[in-house]
Amino acid sequence: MKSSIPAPGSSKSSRFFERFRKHSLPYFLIVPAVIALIIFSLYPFISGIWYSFTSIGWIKDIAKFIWLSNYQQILVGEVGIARLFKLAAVQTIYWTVIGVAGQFALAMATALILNEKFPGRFLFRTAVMVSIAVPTVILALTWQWMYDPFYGLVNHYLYLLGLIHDANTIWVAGMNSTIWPLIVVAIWRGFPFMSLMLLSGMQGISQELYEAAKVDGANVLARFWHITLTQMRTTIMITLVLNLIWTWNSFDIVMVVGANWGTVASKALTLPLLAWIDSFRWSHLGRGAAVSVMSMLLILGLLFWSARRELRSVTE
Amino acid sequence: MTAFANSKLKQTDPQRRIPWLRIRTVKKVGRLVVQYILAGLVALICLVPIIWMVKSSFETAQWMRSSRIQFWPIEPTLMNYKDVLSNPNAAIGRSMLNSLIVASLATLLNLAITATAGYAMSRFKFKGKIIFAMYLLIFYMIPGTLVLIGMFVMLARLHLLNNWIGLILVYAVGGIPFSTWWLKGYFDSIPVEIEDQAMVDGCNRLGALWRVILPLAVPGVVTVGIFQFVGCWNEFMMALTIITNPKLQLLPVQIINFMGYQRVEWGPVMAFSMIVSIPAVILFALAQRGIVGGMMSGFTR
Repeated sequence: MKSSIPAPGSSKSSRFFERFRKHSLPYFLIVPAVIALIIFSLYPFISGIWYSFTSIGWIKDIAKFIWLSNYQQILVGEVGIARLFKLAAVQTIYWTVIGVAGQFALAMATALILNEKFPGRFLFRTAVMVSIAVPTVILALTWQWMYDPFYGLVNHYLYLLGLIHDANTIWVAGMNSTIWPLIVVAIWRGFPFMSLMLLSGMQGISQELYEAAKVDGANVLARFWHITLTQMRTTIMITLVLNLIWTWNSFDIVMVVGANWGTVASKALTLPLLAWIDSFRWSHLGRGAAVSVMSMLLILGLLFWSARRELRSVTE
Repeated sequence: MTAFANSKLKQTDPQRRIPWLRIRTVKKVGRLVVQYILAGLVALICLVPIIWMVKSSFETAQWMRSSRIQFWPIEPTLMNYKDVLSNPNAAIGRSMLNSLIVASLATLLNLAITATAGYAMSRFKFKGKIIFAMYLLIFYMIPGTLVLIGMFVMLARLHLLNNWIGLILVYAVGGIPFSTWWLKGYFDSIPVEIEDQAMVDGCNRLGALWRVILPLAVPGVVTVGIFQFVGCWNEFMMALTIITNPKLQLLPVQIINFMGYQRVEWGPVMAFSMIVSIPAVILFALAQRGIVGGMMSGFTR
């Protein structure tokens, strides 16, 4: 025990060693994570941006710098990749904005219910949890089966309710199918997890605030508006930003439900899927990277544009 | 006269006439009914596709192609499961083993990296800590396809395409931000005094971490580990791109490959889906408590 504490008169070198050990320990602990992130996250990210300025088509190619040629191809012109890019960009905006709006409405309702205490709450919680845990691919497949034109659940009930005239409507994976049925799946996939994110903020609100408001005569709506929403401001902001980015970048649903394995309906295309198909199916890694970079810039622009009021209030 | 007035009074006073029907009770019951209706509605929305999957997996091929829609099997059968388990194109046993190996190794590697990083983030102040923390948060926002393109070329040059090592590394690193933040929060909840005591008793810092703190952190580490495992088990895009050899393929891609072999028979596909989902659901149910709060705390602080 005594040997571990350096005596005041001990040699200079051992004191230096002690100090080095004391201060370097956190770096030793963190170095594996840093190296792993640099090699498998930062480097691929930066090299992906670099490839978007090169002519690389497939892995054996030499990446030759060609300025903005890839960007020119995807932005200018009315046919080919440029047409698909514009179409996919517009559809990705619909997909993200409407998808997240729907997710948020359902998630808020779910979080409010989860926050209440009532007998049998356990069952309700389980239902939400199960729908989070099931793999996205599996859910996408199940939805594809529900959208089945002949024996599917969706057509059956919509026809029964008189909402569609054709009992065998093709919703997904047809040549003319659109992004809208996929947005329904995205809302469904996203809202249970989002409700847990909201719930984590909701549980931090002090119950006394509600009691005080009750005494002051505030009704349920007023309490929701002035207490729940105001107190959860930060949580809601973070949740929305994260979900906007995740939904924007999401791949599985559009790939599995929308694409009929090999053929892709252009009206059901989003930017991440276009980037993936261009890179890995059509062997244009460089151009696919350019689509990805544009996609990233678009979502960042969208986020800044929607947060411009908050940003202005911070800077002024 | 007075008797009449009394009786009238009794009749009009609901509280006295039927004591259990107090206004407060009515309000309470009404509130509960509304709660149950709303909760039932949301639970229904959550569960319809899952019930439909379960039902379809137990349905015979004939009834799958009928216009009769109901949420329990018309003629329950295990045929679909037998079909999919014996079908060589499904290769369910092999791909499940592949998934199990890749997800377990990726999870262990991830935990080894992040338990120490999370501890350092929780206990020490050091230069570059803020940059590291910022990067972990930004990581959530980097588009997967862009990273994938760079990663694909890099893995190809390292000869790690079609190789589990590549995928294991990718998965292990992909989980770093979540695990590190979460474990940092968990270590924060363990009092520093425990380590100080251990160090007074003659442990050095690493010894204290290894012998005292890590055993205390086991529940948190297990929770994060389960979450990581389920994440790897469910992952699709990376596996689809990096692994093209069907013998090495993982479950979520294998099920799509299996569909490609045939005109879609939804019965066996849904049975396959059940087999993939059940482990994920059970594991997630074990680990779900507090998992989201830990993630959110990284952003709110």
